[in-house]
Amino acid sequence: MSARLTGGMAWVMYPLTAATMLFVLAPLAVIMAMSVSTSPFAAFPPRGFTLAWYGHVLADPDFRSSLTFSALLAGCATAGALAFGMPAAFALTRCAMPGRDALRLILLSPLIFPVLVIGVALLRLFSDWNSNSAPLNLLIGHVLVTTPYVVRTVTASLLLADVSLEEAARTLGAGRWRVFRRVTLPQIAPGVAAGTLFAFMVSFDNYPISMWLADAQNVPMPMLIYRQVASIFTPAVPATSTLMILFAFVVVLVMERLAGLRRAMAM
Amino acid sequence: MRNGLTRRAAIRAGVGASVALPLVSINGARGATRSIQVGIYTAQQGEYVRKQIIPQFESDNDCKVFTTEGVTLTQIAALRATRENPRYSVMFMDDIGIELSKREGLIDPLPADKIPNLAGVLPRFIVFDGYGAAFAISTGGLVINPQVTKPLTTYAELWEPRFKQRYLMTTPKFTQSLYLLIAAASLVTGKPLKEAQYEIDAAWPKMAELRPNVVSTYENPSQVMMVAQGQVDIAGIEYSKNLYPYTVQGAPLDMCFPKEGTFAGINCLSFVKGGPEPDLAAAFINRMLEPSVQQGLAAATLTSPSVKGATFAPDIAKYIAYPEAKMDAMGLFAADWAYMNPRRPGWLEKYNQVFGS
Repeated sequence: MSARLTGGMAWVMYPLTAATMLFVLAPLAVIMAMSVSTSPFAAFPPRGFTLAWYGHVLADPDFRSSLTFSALLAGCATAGALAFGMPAAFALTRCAMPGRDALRLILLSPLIFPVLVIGVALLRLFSDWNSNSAPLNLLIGHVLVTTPYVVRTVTASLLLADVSLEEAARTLGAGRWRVFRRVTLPQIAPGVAAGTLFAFMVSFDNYPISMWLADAQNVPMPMLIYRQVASIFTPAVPATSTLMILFAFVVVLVMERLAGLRRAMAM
Repeated sequence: MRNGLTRRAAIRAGVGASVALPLVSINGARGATRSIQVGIYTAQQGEYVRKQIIPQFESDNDCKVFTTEGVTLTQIAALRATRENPRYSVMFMDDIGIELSKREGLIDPLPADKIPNLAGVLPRFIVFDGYGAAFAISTGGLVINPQVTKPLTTYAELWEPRFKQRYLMTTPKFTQSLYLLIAAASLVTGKPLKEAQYEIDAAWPKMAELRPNVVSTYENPSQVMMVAQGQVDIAGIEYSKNLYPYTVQGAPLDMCFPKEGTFAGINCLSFVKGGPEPDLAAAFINRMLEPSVQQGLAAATLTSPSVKGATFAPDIAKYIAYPEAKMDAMGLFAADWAYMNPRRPGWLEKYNQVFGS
């Protein structure tokens, strides 16, 4: 059977797919186009062509410090989300315990509640705790909102995993940790990879939590962009945004190389 | 095999980083004996305070000043969220926020005995019984492209058919939208802004007549660039501090201040109720009101200082409402927020009814 669509279906599906891609990518293309304008203010369509704004952004210490901080924060938040999310997913799928459905709802609730409200609630909580370390507060907040992504994807993978293989390994004398490492993990790797990617990108791109918990010394990238737009909207702002898009693209490529992301996304 | 090793390395790096991250901030605070948290503004004002004022203050007082950036509404929300256990000592907010915060018991009067520079502040900028002191003043008016549109002499011109679908209006969510209501009330009643602000109800039929001219509303000040690009002819009411940075950079943008008066955007300092290190907080406010600091801040952000005796070169002076004689000549008007704030939710609803459907 050929994978290529033909006939009437092709006439419908190809234009529809092209239109969807245009709809998704057009805003990004506009941003990228604005970043190469020679005019001193961001404008579309752009005037002329220059890469000087990228030089300007890359030389900006605020940009470098924000990018480093955001990448570090997103990496740590992802590690935290995996540390909490994977055992939680195991408990939800493998343990027959009372209130399991309620627990699942609670674990996934950060996906449902407005993130802005979670941010202000955390601000209040940290104030009560006298916790004045912005990076630590941000890390806790980001772990909170990224963990549900790991729980969801790993849970889905665990439901598809073949439990009889684990039982066979146990019967043959493998310990629990070895069974997890050698039998379970390879089966759920796509789900873990997808959860890692979602968690990283959600944290890297988060504004609503960061706006309440960040301070002026530790500024994640989305807040830096907002600050720049609020000051004066030069093409440096779209250049910064384009670099963020490229960074996200690189992360996806790395994940694809490490864990076969296409498999995870097709799950 | 290769993949497994790489994953392990990545996990190790992640765990290591997660341990290191909180330490970064702790190291940052080490060395100073005292610290305060200050809620400053975003944009150029925030940057100037962060980079030019705070480092010297920290050095002079052997302290650490932690800052968060926000706008008046988020600053008040942060004060409300931390009311039981205040973490801020000083909060920047507009005069409209001082009234609200005072009424809600979020701030205390400025301790005048610990802020000697308060004596140098123009009396009109010590607001709400000494609960707030201005440190910068912007002027509110309409934004035009001087190559295309002549400055409006009266707000009545905004209703003219030549601006049909050519006026970009400030979102009703922003304080500047109240200024437009006051201007409309002034046109309807024939009263000056100071009296017209109490007769907003009379303005709504006039506001409905403005609807054909409104092409859209905007929330981000950077959208005034639509005026420079010819997509609209006029925008506002906007604050000068958001507009003149573009003008200085060469954008074909200018402000006009019709004869009814000029609206004052008063950026204030407030003293948080029960905030940590009150003496250090007072010292910080005092530093913000120091004549040399005021002069530098005003020149860098194109806002008027609140203290007496500052002087500016002509290329700066033309953008700011200063000295006091110029403020009076421009009819600088500060709204009565004690009257307006309680009524604002109703007006916002009315705004949405008139312009939303």
